[in-house]
Amino acid sequence: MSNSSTENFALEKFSYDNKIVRDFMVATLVWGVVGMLVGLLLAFQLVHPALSFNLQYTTFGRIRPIHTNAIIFAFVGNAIFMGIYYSLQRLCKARMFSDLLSKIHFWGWQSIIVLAALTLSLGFTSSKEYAELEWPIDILIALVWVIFAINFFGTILKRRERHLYVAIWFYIATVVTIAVLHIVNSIEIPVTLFKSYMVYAGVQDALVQWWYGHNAVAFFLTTPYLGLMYYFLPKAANRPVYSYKLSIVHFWSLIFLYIWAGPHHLLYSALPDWAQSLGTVFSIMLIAPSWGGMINGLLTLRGAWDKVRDSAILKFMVVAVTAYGMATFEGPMLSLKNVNAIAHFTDWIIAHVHIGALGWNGFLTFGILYWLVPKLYNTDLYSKKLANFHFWIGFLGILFYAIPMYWSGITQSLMWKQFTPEGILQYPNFLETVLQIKPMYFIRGIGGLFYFAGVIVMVYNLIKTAKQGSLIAEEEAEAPALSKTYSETIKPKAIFARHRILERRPVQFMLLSLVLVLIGGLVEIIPTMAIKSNIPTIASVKPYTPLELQGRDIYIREGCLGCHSQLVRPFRSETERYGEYSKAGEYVYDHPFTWGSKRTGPDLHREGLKYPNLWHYLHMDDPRSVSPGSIMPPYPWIHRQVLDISTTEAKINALRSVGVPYEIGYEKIANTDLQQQADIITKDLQKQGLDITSDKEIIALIAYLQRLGTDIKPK
Amino acid sequence: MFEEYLTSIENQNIFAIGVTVLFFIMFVLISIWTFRINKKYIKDMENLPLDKK
Repeated sequence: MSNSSTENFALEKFSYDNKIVRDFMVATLVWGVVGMLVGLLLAFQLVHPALSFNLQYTTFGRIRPIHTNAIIFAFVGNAIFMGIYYSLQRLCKARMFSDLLSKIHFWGWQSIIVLAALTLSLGFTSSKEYAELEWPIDILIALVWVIFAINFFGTILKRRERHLYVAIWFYIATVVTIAVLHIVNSIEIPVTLFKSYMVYAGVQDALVQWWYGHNAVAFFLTTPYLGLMYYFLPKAANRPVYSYKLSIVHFWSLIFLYIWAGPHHLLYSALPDWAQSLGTVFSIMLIAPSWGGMINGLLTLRGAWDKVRDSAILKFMVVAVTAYGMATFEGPMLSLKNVNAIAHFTDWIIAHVHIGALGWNGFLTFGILYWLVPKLYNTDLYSKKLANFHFWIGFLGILFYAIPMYWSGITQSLMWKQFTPEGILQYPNFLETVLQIKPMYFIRGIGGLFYFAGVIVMVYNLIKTAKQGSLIAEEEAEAPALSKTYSETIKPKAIFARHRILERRPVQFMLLSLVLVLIGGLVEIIPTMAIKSNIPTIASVKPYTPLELQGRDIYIREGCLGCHSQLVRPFRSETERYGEYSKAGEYVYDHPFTWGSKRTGPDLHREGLKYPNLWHYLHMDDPRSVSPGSIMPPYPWIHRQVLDISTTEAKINALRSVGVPYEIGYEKIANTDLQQQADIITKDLQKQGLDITSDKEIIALIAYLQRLGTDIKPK
Repeated sequence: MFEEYLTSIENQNIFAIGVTVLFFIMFVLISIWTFRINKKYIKDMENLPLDKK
């Protein structure tokens, strides 16, 4: 920026670190391919359960979190860092604060990703969506994030540009908020090296989780990408952003409002009504700042739409911003209770998030990559034709993905709710509703395949581009240093003209962002923490027995809640199908909560005592033996593996420390109780002719499944 | 311990109302700020990524 107060100073020579940008770029491509490949495998597993290969490490429940984490934190995460490391240096006219911190950040983040893939596959999971990683990795994430933050704010502090461009505000909001979200949602009591229990239970845990989950979308998938949009879209179009004023208003509104919207993930749940309503109201209000961003992005191209015809980069960006607009309109609509009643737990939500992930995050990343890689390698893009091919196959991929998922979501919902004229469920067998949408799952897989093919073409195109050029690892630049004393060349007329003062004070800016985010977080969470007034306790609800507890941990380990909810909503269609609707007081000993967010299979909250032990034994060994046509994978290893009861004592102790009322000293006799309960179930199975011993994991899992939701059932 | 303090908070809806009001105050202030910003300054800022003098 031409700033009259700095013009008199001598130019300083320095260089931009492009190598770190290149490293993050390569990581983006590698993890993008890996994450999408796992997604494809998941998609086709739902059509052919045999694709789980009968291996515990590759079953749907375990690799679904690998897909979501790989896309969010590995693909999008590395793309964010790539974009920030490139644009921040240039917007601050300064090299990154420390090359060493850049390297530690890069390798730290990649090692987190590798550890995540390994541990999730091995079944080490907290089961909290998008925060599944166990406590040692949580600590590592916090450390690496702090290193990134030091490097980030260090760069801002040594900048040569007085004012912070709007993209940097979005980055600041991201860095600050992700730290808060991650810490609050990871407060857990370690039991073993790779097992912990959340300090929150049931409804509280659900609220904290979706406060986190929703804001992971907001501050990991949205705000940093808006920052990238504000930098790279004007760069690609070679014209300034449509309205800088709009960007100021929409920035502050967005970060203030976003933090409130989490409870819309829990409508019709056991969460207190006022919190649900708050989530809905703020979600609706969010349309305005979200569309402020979309309008600003699209109108940046006003009068230059002819460029879009020729430029694959702009095509990607236009579709990305449009997808952002669609997803941020759809989101508030889904948070209306009447729409949510139909859409929640169905594939509609899968379609919704993929409009965001494939359209907004994916396509904006691709647009940036096609713009950035030739710049880094001082050459032209290897093939514009291939880039255009990528655009069209990717676009078709999104359509082939989303349309079947919308279709399937609405079909599911209508079938779940359909009554006959006599007033009984028309499709009482849940499996009928699954078989109906199986073709949609197949077409969705084809859509994913198209999208993936486009990415492979892009990787080829970018490798060829890099090979024909050479990396400018150090990009020379020069700019005058900032004067220590600064006076505005144009005096603000009044207090109301002082926003720009904030823009040159990054520390104050960061603190203000933090305060706004904390206000939202605290006001949302504090009242629900007031457990006594908000969650009526139920006298008949007792803590899990040691065997049930071990069984519950197997349920969590296998990722059962990826497909099965444990939350019966107060609709007649649900109480008819599953039984009494779920009460907040039933979950008070659930560390963590296991409500799930998707019903690929039926809800399990009232599963207890619905079927005999034998049914569960056979069903887990081969679901199709008792439910012909089921798409659930088999879990034969649970029948073979011996239950590890050495952890029982530590588990009882850990749970007592977070408020579960096990008597002092119970941990010493817990395994005796466990054995007694296991013997009863085993004898029942042996009576049916099964050759089985009581030390197997399946016994614990059956104990847990038979306990589910029975506390308030009339005996 | 904290729960004991928190349970004593009465009429929790005041949180929701209070913060909605706070949001509108902030929104109005930011809007007024924004529309009074000097044009030259805006032009400088929006050209920052483009590095145009």
